Amino acid sequence: MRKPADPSESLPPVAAEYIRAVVGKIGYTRRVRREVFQELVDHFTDALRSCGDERERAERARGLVEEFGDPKMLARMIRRGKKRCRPLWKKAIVRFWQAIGCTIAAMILYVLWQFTGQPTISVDYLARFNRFARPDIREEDNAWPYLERAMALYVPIDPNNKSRDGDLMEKVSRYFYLYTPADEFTDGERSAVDKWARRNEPAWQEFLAAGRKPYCWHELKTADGSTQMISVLAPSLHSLRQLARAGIWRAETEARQGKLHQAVEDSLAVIRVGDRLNYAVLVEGLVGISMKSTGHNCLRNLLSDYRFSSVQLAALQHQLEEIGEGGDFWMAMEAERLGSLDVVQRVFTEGGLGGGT
Amino acid sequence: MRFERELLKGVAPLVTLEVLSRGAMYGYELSEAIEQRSGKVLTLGRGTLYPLLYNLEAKGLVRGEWRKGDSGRNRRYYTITGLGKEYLQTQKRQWEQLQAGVNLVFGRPVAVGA
Repeated sequence: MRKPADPSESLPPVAAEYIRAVVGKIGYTRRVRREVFQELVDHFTDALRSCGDERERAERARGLVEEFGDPKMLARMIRRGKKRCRPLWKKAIVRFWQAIGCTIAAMILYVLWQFTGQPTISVDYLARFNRFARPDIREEDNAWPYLERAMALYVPIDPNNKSRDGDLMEKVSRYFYLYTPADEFTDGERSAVDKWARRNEPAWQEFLAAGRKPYCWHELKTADGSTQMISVLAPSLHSLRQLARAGIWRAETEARQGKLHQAVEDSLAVIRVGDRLNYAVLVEGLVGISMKSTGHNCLRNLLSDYRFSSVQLAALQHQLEEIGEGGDFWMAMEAERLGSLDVVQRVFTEGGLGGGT
Repeated sequence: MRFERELLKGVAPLVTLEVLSRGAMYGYELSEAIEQRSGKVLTLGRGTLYPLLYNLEAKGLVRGEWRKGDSGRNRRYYTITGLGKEYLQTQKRQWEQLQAGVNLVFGRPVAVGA
């Protein structure tokens, strides 16, 4: 496709360059720029018509360029005039899109401001929680260090095969919670679970020791040492729950072997540790309730399947009353409440909501 | 003779409309006509001419359209509109009153009918 002839080609270079400079700086629609270009070319062409030779044309063109003035200024004035020529509906559309653009720009700035703003942290809710939850006890009466060791010593059924481990633990869980028949286990599976219960003997001993302590408390900490409650490291409560199941499995095995007293003690240990976990952190409280429920279920099974003497029953009643002295199935959600307040104070900057009250 | 810029500022639209009221013209033709008819007293600056025409067009006082001229070339001709004519009449009356007032101050006779 042939390029259309440039009408400024017939003009002296100084004139052609000037016209291109002006039109280039108008920065308006192509149609308007084309029209202005043509008008200026026509003006120069008419003005130079009477000139004799090229030298005279160039001289006259330079004079005209000076008369027209600064190309930037001229372009600005032309643009202003042309914009005023726009019909109202076009102006409305332009203003509409400008408003949209301004709104988007304002929103981007607002989002940037939100993300770059720093909240004022005025309250250390983590420290406040730890002060609130800490009982006035001696450290040697605290069950938590034993539970920490128990969690560290816990061994899964099949550490080399997570999938098999998960399947077997699910069967154990169904056996305990849904009362599925024991013959659901194959001989191999039963043997594996027995070995698992025995392998966790060291962990179980720590578990038992924890149950003998009157209190359980631990300080909430974050991985990076910050005071942000949302970053608090949660202890591995899963292994505690598994240890509780291991304890119940041991209890039922011992009962079948005629070791009723040991079976009852193991069940009571699970109940005691569950009771100690009634703490001001919701998830720990829920795990504690779950463990207590497991222990009580086991006790009920033992009581229904085996014969106990009246002395044994009286002793059991006394032990259960001791465990339940502090009230049963209570939950505090202080950690969650303070955690929410901490999130609020970290979301809003100073003067906004969540100023750390 | 070079006049004060501010003095010419209000005059330029008026003389442009007056010249256009006598017939459609293109840009160069218009600037030459103003110079000729004013006895070379008024020279519309080249840098003012086209912005002025576009502003008058924006106000609806003139209308620009591309037409084939006598030479056969396409040019943009400017024509005064009805609104432009009304505006011109109003401005001319004001100008005449202004002229009469200034003449009185200078101690010059006032033109008949002013």
